[in-house]
Amino acid sequence: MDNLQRPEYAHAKALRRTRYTVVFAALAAAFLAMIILNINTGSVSIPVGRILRILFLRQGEANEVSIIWKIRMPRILQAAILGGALALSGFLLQTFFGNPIAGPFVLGISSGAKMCVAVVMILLIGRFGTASSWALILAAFAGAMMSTAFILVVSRAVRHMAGLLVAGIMIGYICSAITEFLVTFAEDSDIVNLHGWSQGSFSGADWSGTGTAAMIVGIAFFCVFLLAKPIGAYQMGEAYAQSMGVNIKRFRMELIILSGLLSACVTAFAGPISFVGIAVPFLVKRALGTSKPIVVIPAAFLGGAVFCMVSDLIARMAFSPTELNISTVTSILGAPVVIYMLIRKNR
Amino acid sequence: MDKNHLQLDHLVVGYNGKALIHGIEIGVQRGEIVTLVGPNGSGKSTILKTITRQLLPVGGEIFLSDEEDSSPKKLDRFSPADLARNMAVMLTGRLQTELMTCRDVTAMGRYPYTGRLGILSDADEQKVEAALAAVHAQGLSDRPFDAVSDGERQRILLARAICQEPKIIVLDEPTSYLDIRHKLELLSILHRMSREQGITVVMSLHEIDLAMKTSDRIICVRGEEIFACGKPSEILDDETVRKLYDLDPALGRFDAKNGSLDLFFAEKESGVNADRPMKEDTAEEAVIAESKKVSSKADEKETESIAIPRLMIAAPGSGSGKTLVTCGLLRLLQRKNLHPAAFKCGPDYIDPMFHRQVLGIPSRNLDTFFSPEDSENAANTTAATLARAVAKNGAGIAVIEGVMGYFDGTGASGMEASSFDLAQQTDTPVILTLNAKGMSRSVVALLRGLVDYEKENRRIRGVILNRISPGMFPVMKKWIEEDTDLKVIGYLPQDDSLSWGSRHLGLLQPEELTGLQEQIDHLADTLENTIDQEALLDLASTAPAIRTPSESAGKKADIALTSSGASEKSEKKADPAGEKQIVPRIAVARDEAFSFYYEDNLEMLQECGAELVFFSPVHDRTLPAADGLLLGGGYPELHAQALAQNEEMKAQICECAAKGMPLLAECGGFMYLQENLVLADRTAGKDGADQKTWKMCGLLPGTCRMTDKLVRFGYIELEKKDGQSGEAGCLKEGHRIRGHEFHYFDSTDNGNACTARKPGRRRSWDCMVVQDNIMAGFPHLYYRSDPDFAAAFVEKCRQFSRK
Repeated sequence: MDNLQRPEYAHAKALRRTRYTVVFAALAAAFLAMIILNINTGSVSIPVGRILRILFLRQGEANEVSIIWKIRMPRILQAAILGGALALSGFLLQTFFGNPIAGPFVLGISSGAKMCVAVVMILLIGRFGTASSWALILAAFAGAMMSTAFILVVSRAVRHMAGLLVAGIMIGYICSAITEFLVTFAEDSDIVNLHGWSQGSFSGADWSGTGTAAMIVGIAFFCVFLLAKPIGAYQMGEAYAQSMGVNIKRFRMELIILSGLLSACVTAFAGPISFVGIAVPFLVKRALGTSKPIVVIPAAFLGGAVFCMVSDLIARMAFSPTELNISTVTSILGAPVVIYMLIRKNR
Repeated sequence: MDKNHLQLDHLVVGYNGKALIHGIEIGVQRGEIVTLVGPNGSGKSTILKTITRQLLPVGGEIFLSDEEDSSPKKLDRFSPADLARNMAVMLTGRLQTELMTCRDVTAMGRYPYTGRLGILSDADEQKVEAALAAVHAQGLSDRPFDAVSDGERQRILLARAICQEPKIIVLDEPTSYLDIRHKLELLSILHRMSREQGITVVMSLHEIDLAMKTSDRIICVRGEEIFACGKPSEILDDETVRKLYDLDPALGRFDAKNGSLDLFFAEKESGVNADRPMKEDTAEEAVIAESKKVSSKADEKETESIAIPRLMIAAPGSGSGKTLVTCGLLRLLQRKNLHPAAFKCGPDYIDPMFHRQVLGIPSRNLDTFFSPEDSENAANTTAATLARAVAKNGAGIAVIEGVMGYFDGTGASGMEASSFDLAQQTDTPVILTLNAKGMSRSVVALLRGLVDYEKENRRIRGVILNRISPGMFPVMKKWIEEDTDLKVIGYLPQDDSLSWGSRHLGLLQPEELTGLQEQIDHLADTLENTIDQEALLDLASTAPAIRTPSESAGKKADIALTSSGASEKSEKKADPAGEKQIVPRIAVARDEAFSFYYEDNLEMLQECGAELVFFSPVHDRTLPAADGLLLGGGYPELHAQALAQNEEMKAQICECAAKGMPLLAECGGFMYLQENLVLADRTAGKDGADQKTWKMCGLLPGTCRMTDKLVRFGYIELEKKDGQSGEAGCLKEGHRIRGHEFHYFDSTDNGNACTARKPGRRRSWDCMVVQDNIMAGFPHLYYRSDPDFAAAFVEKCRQFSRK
């Protein structure tokens, strides 16, 4: 049984490798292009030469340095990090439920996180005038876990996916209703901030928040990457995964915690953002022509980052100076992809 | 025990702590093939799932030995990865994958051996290749897993299991979805693995014959217990199999010597069916033999009962595939030597002709308007007609083809003479066939509507789904059987080659016949695989015995007499002794131009004592010697030229009529007796003028012309026109005869001896030319609706013969 490697297979393998390389190269190029475009775009026009000087030499007019470093850079990076986190969270939930339409937004996980964040914000800001990003992340994580627990309970009774999605959408509505209720009775000073945030936006980004987000998402990404192998086995179904030696109980717990953490982090910093979690993994898998987690995980992260940066650019610039909610843009871009998925699936 | 590879020790299996099967005590040796057999839901999968640790045992222990010589360990002492290196599984049910190639799926088998990130080494890659080679699937390597066939999928899943390098492999119904070739391939691979590599195989199978032939040991699982366990040759005999599956002894027998099922209901083709899993629920008895008389009981002296298995194929509407399904079923039943007799609901001539000529199956019309249930004339009920035809042809099963939608009929209720009406009057179980293309669950709603509408005496019992994909069938069957009491008998997949739809079936050319034969054979081949024949026959045999008045028994004796020459009709008025001996001959025009005859009409003439001789006004130059002449309907317009040019025949008919020979003509025959037939030229096939006039017999005045619509069509009741005394031809004073009209031609002289009335309506018109020995007109008559009509005609012939 020595060299059984057939030439056809070697060829197919080479083709695959080339395809992966091209997709990653394209995503990386888009990532860089979006960073440059985002830095370069804004209501104050700054020529590219001056931007480069500000970035690399930290030289330039004080207000331009502030615009670049204090406003544009953290926002861009946050959009990239949180976009990647959203896509990853979606991918984990899709694996968990074995359905490509699952995602943090449709399953009500984002809304649960949003509700808890709203409660904590009103309480903390009302009392102390500020709320630390850690407190918000913790609240969001608790809300995300709460929604997930509800979905898991429902998923025991409801075997088919449509029922599960309806349950998710319902809990989303309930949480949103509670949030709206809190917003209505919150003190005036909080409302503007809270209302903008509850619709989703990267406008509040600053360096400390970005640093915190980068740390949490970085750790979560690393953990997810290490789970690539059992995720691949789990894609064949629970029974097969178990028969191949996956510790199912532990693995499911890991998936839930990681996806909850990722979506909680996004919600704490930017509010609920729709459709990225479904559309991006789908597009990335099509582009790569595989669902192998070991390539899909980094590609989905990069893809989510690019998708959110593009969306944020549009949100900022389309009706400048009025800023759109980020979800408005991601919905317009993402929902058609999801509709296409549904149509294709039913064919 | 310590030699066993796998040991089940007092094992109790079940779900959620609830025990399903107790006391499982099985030891499996290394390299053995052990097969679980048993009916659906008996717990085979539960046992297998417990062995593979998907389910926790409710009680008892499972031991597995790790290495060749090591003593067995409890299953729960194995870590997940350890167990995976010992045991691989292949599960039932379809695997949904996204963007995975067959190779990706196979490579998953390396899971227990790869590192943290699951990256395959070169050695792993070679093992994947070897596993693909072992199942002969290298060619599939780079194909997407969700795009290959069922057989290929199962082979890839087996390759995945092989790739896992297990010492024991557990398979749950690995042969489902596979055709015979793929079943054998799969089992041969397993056999080789067990014999050459000493891999232990534990699986469940539905095919008892395959289980018997491939296994070292068989475990029969049934409900709460292990029913039997041992070497196939020792435990598998007819009795065990029958008990295990709760088989009906009347249906079949397990032949332990050959490892096959003998099917009693399909003696000849038993081999074809042996492979199919037996059904669990088979009803009372499928009694299909020659038609049997259940002798008349003493307390029912006036009637006798005849057991006739029978079915009606009906539909929610036209275009549902009734004709297709009926023809296919008839051919199938014919092949199985069940001697079907065909019937057509309604007055149509063409379908019975098609059954007779193409299928070679006796066929008659059953029409509740022609044969009303409340008629005093006991011989003329649809049930009596059905019984008579079955007895005469020695048929084993009667198949009635419905007409239009099941409830579509005529009269005040709109349901008279409908298929529904006929099913009620003949107590016939109905199988609905419907075009389910473009429908899914709505089919259930439609069926429930039809079933509910039948209110009482529900006859609709089964369904055959037409034009659905084989994949949808099990789903639809489940839905329908969940939500209705109907039995889903089978389906007919969409197949565009199976259609002779709009072709004018009455006009078959011999060369067309061969093509049709092939189509029908193909249809029957298809149905053989898609129809549950047992259920079909079972349903047919649920029909209650037909009660026929004893008078019809007397009639049957007559048939026997007439066919042997001597004849007499059991009439009230006795004929003078001398006249009984005379057998008048009636010449019946029967060819491609005159083809419309009810089988029952001809039979009735014979019952009345006549002998029939057939001739062709198109081809024959001389009229056979006869005492009477009958010209039926048909398509004289399509053979106008040949008819017009056959001067000899026309002259002889006129000559005989002039001598006083009794003559009866309907529709096409009536047109032939008139002076001229005027056709649009394209029909006549000549160029020149728009219209072409063909000279017909000229025995009766008048010219027939083609119109562009049906003239006076539908059911009619005919009686002598008011204001005339005596009888009109064969129709006696005060008598009425039923029939129908259906013609695009109209004559300048349609006759006015009789009045035709539409049932339930005011509408009526004059018709029939009656002279002393001639009676002719457009109506097609059904003789049995006035028993004296045929007798009167035969009597006239008898008198003519004496001259």
